[in-house]
Amino acid sequence: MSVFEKLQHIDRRVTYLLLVAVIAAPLIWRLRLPIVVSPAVRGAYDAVESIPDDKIAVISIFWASGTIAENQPQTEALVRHMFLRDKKFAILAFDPQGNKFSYDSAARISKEMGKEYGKDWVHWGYRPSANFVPLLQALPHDVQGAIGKDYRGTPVAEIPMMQGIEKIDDIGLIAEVTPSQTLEVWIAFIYGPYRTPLIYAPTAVMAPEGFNPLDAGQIEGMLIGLKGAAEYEHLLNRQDFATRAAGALSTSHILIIALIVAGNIGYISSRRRRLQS
Amino acid sequence: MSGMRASGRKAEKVNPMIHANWTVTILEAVLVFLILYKIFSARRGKELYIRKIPGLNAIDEAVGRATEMGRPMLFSPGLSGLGLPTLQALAILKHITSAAAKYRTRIIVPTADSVVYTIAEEISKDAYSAQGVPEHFNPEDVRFLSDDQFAYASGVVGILNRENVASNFMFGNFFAESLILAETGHQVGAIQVAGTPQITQIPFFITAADYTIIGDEFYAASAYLSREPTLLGSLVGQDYAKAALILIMAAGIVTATLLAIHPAWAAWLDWLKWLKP
Amino acid sequence: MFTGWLIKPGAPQWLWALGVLGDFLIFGSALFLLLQLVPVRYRKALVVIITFLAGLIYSVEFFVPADPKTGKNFLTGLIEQVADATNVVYAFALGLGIYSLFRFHGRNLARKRSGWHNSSAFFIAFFAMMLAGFWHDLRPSAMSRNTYNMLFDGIVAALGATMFSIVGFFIVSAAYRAFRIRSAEATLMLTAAFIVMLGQVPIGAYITSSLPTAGLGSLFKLENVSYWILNEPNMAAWRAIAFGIEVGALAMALRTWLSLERGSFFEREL
Repeated sequence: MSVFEKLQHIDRRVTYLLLVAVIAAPLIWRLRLPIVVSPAVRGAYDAVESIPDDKIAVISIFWASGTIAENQPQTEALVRHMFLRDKKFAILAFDPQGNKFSYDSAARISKEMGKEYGKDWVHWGYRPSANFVPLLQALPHDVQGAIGKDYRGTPVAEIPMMQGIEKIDDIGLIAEVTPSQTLEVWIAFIYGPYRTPLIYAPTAVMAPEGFNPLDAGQIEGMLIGLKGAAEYEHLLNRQDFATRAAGALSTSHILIIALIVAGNIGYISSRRRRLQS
Repeated sequence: MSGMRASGRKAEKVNPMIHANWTVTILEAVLVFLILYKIFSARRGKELYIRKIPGLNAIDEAVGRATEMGRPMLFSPGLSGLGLPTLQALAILKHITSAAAKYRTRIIVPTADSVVYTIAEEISKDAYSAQGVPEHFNPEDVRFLSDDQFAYASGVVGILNRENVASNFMFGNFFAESLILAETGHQVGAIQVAGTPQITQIPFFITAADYTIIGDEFYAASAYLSREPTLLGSLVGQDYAKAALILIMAAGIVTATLLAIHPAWAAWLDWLKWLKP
Repeated sequence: MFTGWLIKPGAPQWLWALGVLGDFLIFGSALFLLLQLVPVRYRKALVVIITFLAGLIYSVEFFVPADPKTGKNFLTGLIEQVADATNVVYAFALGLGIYSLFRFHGRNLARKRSGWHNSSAFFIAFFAMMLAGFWHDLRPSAMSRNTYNMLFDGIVAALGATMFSIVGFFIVSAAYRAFRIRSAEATLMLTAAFIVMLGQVPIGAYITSSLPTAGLGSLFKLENVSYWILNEPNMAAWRAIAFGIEVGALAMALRTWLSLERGSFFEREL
């Protein structure tokens, strides 16, 4: 077997080690690449900028530890943007792990940016995903009644920033940060009847689901996975985790392409040899 | 490419996703009529042609392979509870378990939902009884693992490795764990047949599994395997329904194009205003 | 139901839990006895009728026009109660999953079968998490919180992230193994895959950064080509597959509702 033919039989342990190396290296020795902002992310950014001052935004959290690498940077980028522009927002979690992660992230950024819980932001706590649809049906008519208490157990009616937030018209934007197929539910129950602006922040593998609604105008914008978070950070003139990890993302994709090319070189070599013999 | 701004239209109280309007009612009536018409004409004895679906043909091949090698099979009905995809998966499970009982081949069925577990156990028990070998049914081969996505995935991976499975069937709703299951099945040398209505997971199954059932071939599986007239009629009815949808879309495209060229012609379509969603 | 009549609001939680359990036992037993009284030849017909009525409620509620002021019709309130009843029926099966786990792992341990140490890990993890959760809920303290966080964040969350990370490695090995240019279509797919992959990462934008940002040249920027592939042909294929799946689901739902479904447990004797 020639060297070229051996290229199609590289041991998968070698490929895994190479992957570890190409992901670790850019994280250790910072690899800075230019970030080009896509129209989908620009749309999401503009939607946040356009939230009226008398309305709040809602960040819906469906993610857990499995997709923390993609969804947490997206959540943090959105939180930072809203703090930067003094847009009041509420976080609502439908996953118990995401509930805690999102609260910790928002609390840390809030402390960093001098914002106050209850006045600038609030966390509505965790609701089981089985209650997702009933909550979306109740929320438009009575926000405070549907939510009840916040993450800390305080009735939302007693929270300063929730004063006057009663119906869906008082919500200026909903951002769905999710690794699951939940966007269609928001479109069906919220965007459809009430036309509340939506933005979608899925993991990269779920992103194709968002292109149809984006094209149809049902969502204002989309943050596609870690790269979407990096683009958003670029718009905020920041270089947080997503920007640093974008280098690792690039090198890992290059590795996959290189391995596929190597495999095909081996395949073509062996096919040629078979034809010749 | 970015999403259009919200139209600013006054919010409707009636959401067509929650309560049908005339458009939805007429469309549903047409589709339901077509499906039921073909079901009842099939039951009256009409011969129907179904094209070959290689993935479904491979099921029997996979069962045979496991029997020859003396190694067990594994059937995973997906992560969801008792919904349409899982019902379909259980219908396929019945077919495979009947073959397994006939050839005395062991089949392991790990489930991620308690209700699905009880039904899968009943199906397996009945299949062995129908083949006259109820004593060969091992209740421990049908197990509930966990309703947590990655706990389930790690459990199935463990079973695939420890039991050295020869054939791996994955039918139902799968999410991020689809590639974990499929690639592990490949690594243990199992022949793999997979099918899911989750479009985002189809690329992973195509890459890692030997045979993949795409799109509505998944819902055609029970009809294809059983050749039961009612199910075959329903399958043909589905095709008629799709044809009707294509005709409606084509009419819409032509109309929209003509109206873009001659906007004044829109007045001729005023009588259709009552259909507007 | 009886719980709501007999127990007053404000009663302690344990009394409510006891009342719900009582309801469960009374109605569950009554239902079971009633079903046993029905002659065998009529049981299937009874299931067909109940299935049809249950589906009919949802269908009629969906198609009957709703009041534009409230967005509801005369059946909307009933739907919520039917959904709650469905959840209660579903809850009956919850304990069975745990029973299955205990039975399987318990037998492994008792008979010291190969892999029994994995089964012991199950019991340790199960009881540790359960006890930590109850401790933190019933007697919260700094120690209970730390224990719970250590188990939940430190083990459960970390293990979930680890399993998801395996997908990254598997993508590499699966792509390397599967993507071979065996035909013209495979070559086309590979080319599109390369473009989309590079377009999704910053290095792709860097490769074609010398092209202009506007005009004809901008059409060949990797991120623009990638975006076009995702938005045009990909979306068309996606919509086509989605239509097929939804029509298939409609047909299956129709068959299940009208009890026309055949095979598996639909034809069991009851």
